[in-house]
Formats: sequence, structure tokens, C-alpha cells
Amino acid sequence: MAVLEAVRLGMVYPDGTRAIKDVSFSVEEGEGCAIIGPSGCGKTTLLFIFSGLLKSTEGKAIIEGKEVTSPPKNAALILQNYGLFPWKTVMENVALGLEIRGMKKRRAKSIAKPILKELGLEGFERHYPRQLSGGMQQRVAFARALAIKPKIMLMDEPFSSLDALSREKLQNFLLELWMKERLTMLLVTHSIEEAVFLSRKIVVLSPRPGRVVRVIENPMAGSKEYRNMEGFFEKCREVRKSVGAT
Amino acid sequence: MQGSEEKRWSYIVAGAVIVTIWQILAYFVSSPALPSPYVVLLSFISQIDKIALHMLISTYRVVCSILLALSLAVPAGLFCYERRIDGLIAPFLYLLYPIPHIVLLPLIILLFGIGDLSKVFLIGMIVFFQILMTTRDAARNIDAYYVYSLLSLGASRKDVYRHVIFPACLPKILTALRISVGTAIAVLFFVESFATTTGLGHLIMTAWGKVDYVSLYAGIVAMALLGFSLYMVLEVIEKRLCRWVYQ
Repeated sequence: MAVLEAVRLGMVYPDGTRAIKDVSFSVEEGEGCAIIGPSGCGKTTLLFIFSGLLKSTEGKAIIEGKEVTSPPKNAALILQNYGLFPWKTVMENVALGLEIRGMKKRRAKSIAKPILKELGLEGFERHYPRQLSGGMQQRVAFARALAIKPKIMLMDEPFSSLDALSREKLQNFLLELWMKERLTMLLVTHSIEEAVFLSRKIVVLSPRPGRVVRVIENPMAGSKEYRNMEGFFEKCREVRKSVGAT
Repeated sequence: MQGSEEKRWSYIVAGAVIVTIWQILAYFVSSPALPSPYVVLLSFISQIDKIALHMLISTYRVVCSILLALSLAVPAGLFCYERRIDGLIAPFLYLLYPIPHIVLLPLIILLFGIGDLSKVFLIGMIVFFQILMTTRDAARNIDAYYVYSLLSLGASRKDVYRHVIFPACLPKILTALRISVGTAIAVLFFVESFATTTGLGHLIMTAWGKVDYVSLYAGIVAMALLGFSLYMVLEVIEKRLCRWVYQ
């Protein structure tokens, strides 16, 4: 069953800029899907429509059979610049999603604690985001997303501001998470390697206005070893060709 | 805590430097219009009861004014985060802000009499615009990504103000407050310099009239102390509320 579905989505901003046109694809339950394309092709617009932060001007975004009109309760959004609040401690940031959903502060923190521990952030609960490295901040963002026990993860270039080593580490982490929890993931990225490593389905968008050029199946994704396998490089070449061909 | 210890010393040293320069100037100028700090200190101590009373009244007026201005300017400024509300408020702000509000004093006295109310109103009005201007600028410059990030967690409009708009603007609001303290005390002196028999402004004006320069300086010192203590209070509040800025 398709958990995420884009039905002929189109978006024209009030200033007349057309970001995307006629975008259709679907993501099955527990599937990881990457959206890739040149910068400015409307990738982020697409993700924001699924997050309920933007309203599309044409077509429909559907999550679990319902059209998205407000931020969906069972989806977590992770942004490029982590989306953490500098005025809140690590613990407060992670507990925030639960608090907003009406949970008492105390209880929210007791749920956040083991998640922080699992992500290796134990002992940093009272730090502020700017006291942490980029990789740690991104892990805090993941902890906050996971705290609300989402079934869907929406990610906007989540690793693009990290150095290469932290990026690989977090990609491995995300892959493990996906395999363990079987989350449905929608990942926006401009990195071909990242898309191929993390997602079984890759949607290639054209330059603005973004249209679906190709949907590439990538059934081998789903193990950490894939990164070093011949199939991985071949797939990367295939994706690169589609992106370049646009 | 080592930092605050160091800071305390730097304040003491700066104070000592100022007093020394004052002493040297007093020695060379050698005029009754510039008594030495020691003489002023003695006068200050001998009149401490009187000065304390006037200082209390002045403090009351300044604090009321600032609180009044703060309670109106901060919500108005924060709401300017929403372009629609900003569109309503901004034209009034731009037309009314550049007016030197102090010239409205006669009007305010006609409306509110010569009591504390008109003093609080005038100081409050002047400070109101300073706080509003700063808060508005801060609210308008909030990175939209913070709001997106919060909304994606299912936040309501109230949550956005509580978790993003207010905390993001708080450091700027406190800066505005610090500037306002200076302005408020300057205006305080002006409104206390006539039609009243209380307050430090009155104390200074009477001493001047009686050519009692030593008491005049004692009044000035009291006013400086008032400003300095308000600054200190703000500093403590800021350290507590905006810990994230100082980490």
C-alpha cells in the first residue's frame, strides 16, 4: 500500500515562479525514496508540501490515503540546518515535539532520555545546540524526530552541511534506523551517492520547473556494505546519467 | 564563577579611575562648582535619609514607566512577525516614532495633571517606541526555518509565539530595555525638574537654585546609582533568561 503519494503535484509561488510541475510518484510502506535533482528544481518545495507547510497549487499530496492539509501527526520533518532551537537545551529540543502534542514536560523528558542515550548524546542533555558539533546537532534533530514515534520521515538534505566523515556515519545510522524500524522515508538530496546508498527508489527531477524525469528502482540498497559494491557504483552511474541528461 | 569575580574587579577598578579623574579635575579647577568626591561623599552620607526617600520615589516612577512600556511594546512588536499585523502597525510607528515625544509634555500635563501619572506616561511613551522598534525588527528577522521546524511538529499559533518568536526576540528585547533605562532616567530628570517637590530631579534643581553645589553633586551621584542598579538588575535577568547566548 502506498503511504506517500504525489498526484500530479504542481506549485506556482505567488510571485509567479513555477517550482514543480505535474509531479507524480508513490512510496510504499517501509520504503525509502530519494528525490534528487539540480538545485532549484523544487525538491524542497515538494517536501514542504508533504509536511503540510505549503499548499500545492495543483494536484494532491496524499499520506496514508488522506490529502495533506496540515502537518501530519505521524510524520517527522528533518531540515538541512537541523531546525533546532538555539534557545532550548538538547533535552528541551528533543522533548518539544511531545510537549506540543500535549504531553507533560516531565513525561516527555522521560521518553526523550533513552532516545538521547541511543544516539550517543548522553551527558549532553543540558548543552545548547551551538555547543555541539554539526554531526551531534543533526543527531539531536533525529532524536527529536524519533521521539514522536513517527511512521514517516521527511528529510530535506539532512547531511549536506556535515563533513564527509560525519556524513557517512550518519548515513549508516539512518540506514540502520530504517532497517530496524521500517520507517517510510522521503529523502531530498542533491548527492547521487547518498540517494543510491539510502533509498530503494530514486525519483529524478528536471531543472526548474521540476518534473519527474525518471524513477529508478534500486533494490540493492539496504546494507552498509552496498557502498563498496560494484552494483553501487553502477547504480550511481545510472543515476548520474539521468540527472545529467536533463 | 571566576568570570564574575573578574568582572567585579574590573567594575571596582573603573570606578576608582573615574573618582581619581574627578579628584584631579577638582584639584586643578578648584572652583565651588566642582567639589571633590570626598566632600560630596560626606554630604551624601549626611543627607542619606532625604536622598534615599527621593531616590525611592524616582525609582518607582522609572520602574512603573518601563514596565508599562514593556507590557505594551513587547506584544505589539512580537505580533509584527505576522506581515498582516505589521502592515497595520508599521505606518503608525513610522509616523509617530520620529516625533520628539518630550514636546508633548504640556499636553500630557493638561490631560493627566501634574502628578505621577503624567510623569509615568511621558517616560513610558518615549521608552515604548524604543522597545517597540527593536522588538519589531527582531520579530521580522526571525529565520522562517525555525517556524517551519516548529510547525512540522504540529504546533499551533500560540506555540509558535511561545517557543520561537518570544525566545528568539528576548535578547534584543533586553538590549532595548538597557537602552531604555538610560533614556528613561534622562526623561525622569526633565519631568522632575518642575511642578513637583519629590524625586532626584527636584533634589538636583533645588540644590542648584540654592547654589548648594555639594548637594547638587550628591543628587547627581544618586541618579547615577539609580541608573547603575537598574543596569545590574537587567544584567542578572539577561544572564538568567538568555543563558543560551552566553554559553
